[in-house]
Amino acid sequence: MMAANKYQLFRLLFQRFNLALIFGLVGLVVFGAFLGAERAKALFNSPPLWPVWAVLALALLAGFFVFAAKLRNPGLAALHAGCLLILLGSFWNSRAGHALAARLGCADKIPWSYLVLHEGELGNLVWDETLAQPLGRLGFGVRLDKFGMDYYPQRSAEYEPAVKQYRSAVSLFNGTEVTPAEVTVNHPLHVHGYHLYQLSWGRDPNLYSVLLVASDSGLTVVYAGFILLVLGAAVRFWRRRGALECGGSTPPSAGVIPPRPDTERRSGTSSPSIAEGAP
Amino acid sequence: MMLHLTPLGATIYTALAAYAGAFVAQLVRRPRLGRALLAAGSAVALAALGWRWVETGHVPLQNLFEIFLAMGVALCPIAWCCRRWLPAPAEALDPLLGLIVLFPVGFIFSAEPRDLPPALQSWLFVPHVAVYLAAYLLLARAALTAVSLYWQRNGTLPQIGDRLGGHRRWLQSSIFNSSDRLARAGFPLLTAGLILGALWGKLAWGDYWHWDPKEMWSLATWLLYCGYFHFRALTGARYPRTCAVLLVAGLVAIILTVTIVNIAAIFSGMHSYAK
Repeated sequence: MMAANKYQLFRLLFQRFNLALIFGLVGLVVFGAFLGAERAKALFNSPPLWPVWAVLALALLAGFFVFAAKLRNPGLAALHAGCLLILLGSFWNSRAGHALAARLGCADKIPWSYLVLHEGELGNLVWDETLAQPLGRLGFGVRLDKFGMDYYPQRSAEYEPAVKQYRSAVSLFNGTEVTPAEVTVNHPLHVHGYHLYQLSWGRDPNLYSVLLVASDSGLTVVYAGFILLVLGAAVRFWRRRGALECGGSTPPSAGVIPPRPDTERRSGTSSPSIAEGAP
Repeated sequence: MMLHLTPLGATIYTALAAYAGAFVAQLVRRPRLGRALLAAGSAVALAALGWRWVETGHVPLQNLFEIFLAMGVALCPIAWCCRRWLPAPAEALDPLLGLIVLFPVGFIFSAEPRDLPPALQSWLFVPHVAVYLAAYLLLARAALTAVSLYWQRNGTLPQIGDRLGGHRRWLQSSIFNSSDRLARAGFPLLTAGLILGALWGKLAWGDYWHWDPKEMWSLATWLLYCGYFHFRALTGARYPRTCAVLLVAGLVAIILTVTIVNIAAIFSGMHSYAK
């Protein structure tokens, strides 16, 4: 009996802790919004915040055991599992995750880099975001065959026509195999564990194209998390009456609309649902 | 403050007038007239949106002007769905929401049409924005409904009490529950909007999360609603006032996500094109 009470207390404290964790995250994220993208990215990836992500992941995982009965609800389980997968996949996809994978002897990949190619140039050397520091070489070669732009029809005489699309026609060299392909905005190319994106272009004076090279490690896990999260939310919150009501620590009647006034008056009982907090 | 002295502007002002009429009709307890005027306003706003589509040559969901105009259209079908599937009392709130949404379209936002930059030409453009739009309308309605629980005590929205039979506690809990239902209806859409945005970010910019101010605000909004649902799961219906405060906080976060981020220079980021 004693142990059961202690467990009840633990569950209650854990619930409160989770609530505090969520609102703490709200504060942290709002703070991050004021920093601007670059500084926010640096902050949220910095070692001092690793414990926050670890605690969040552990709380999500622990929830499956502490609230085992509640999380038997498929929607609720998918929602929380989705969040957990997104966290894990994101870690795997991060710089720290790549460093860990390399140390464990798994694939040594460059998480995020840039490939600068002039027309006709074949290369596999990638650079950091300043385009000044080489980061390494890819396991395949890319040749820029042609870079071009599509334009919208001109709206008025005073403005230049707006650009509709940027296109890099490339050839991929993998061993003896040569494959032609095209990279445009919104249509990245997937090659050997990397995605290639049309990022930028320039003239020096020869035309060159800048391709972003992003590792796809952990991406499947993140996408699985996305699917679970969306489906879980829909199942949890859009199912018909009954499932719509929040369960948990309140009696089932508390979340449901009380009987109509006439029946209530006849029975003479008062609805417990709202009395205390109502004005 | 600006007036749009164009045929497009005229249709927007007509829709605004219809919503104002619908609001008044609801207040003076003419619900059927109110609904008819709401539908008329929505139809006129739809005509304006169609006009805009032809004018710009792309789905008009790019900037705040177009998005709020689309909200002014979507409002009526969403209100109908709420009446059909949820208990959504305080019907005067539907045209009120329409007025709130269409007012900046008519008087504040710039209507200058622009071409879609390459990054916006994605099949995810329409679902991402449309899903968010519906989510925001439902969650705004949830917050307004929760607040109306406290208004109606002062008799500001008298028709609610009269139409539903007047027993205060039953009424209050029904409004309280309907605000919760509305939040529950909107949350999966909010989630889907966030995830579709992440997918799009991955396709267009190489990463599904960019720590951009607008993304951060939208995540904060999502987390706030997560907090609301956890709070309700923990306390049930014991603290309706706190629940109302959380729903209003969610609405404030939504407003900041949608507008301030586009307007304020300190929040400039990759979503700035949506000005």
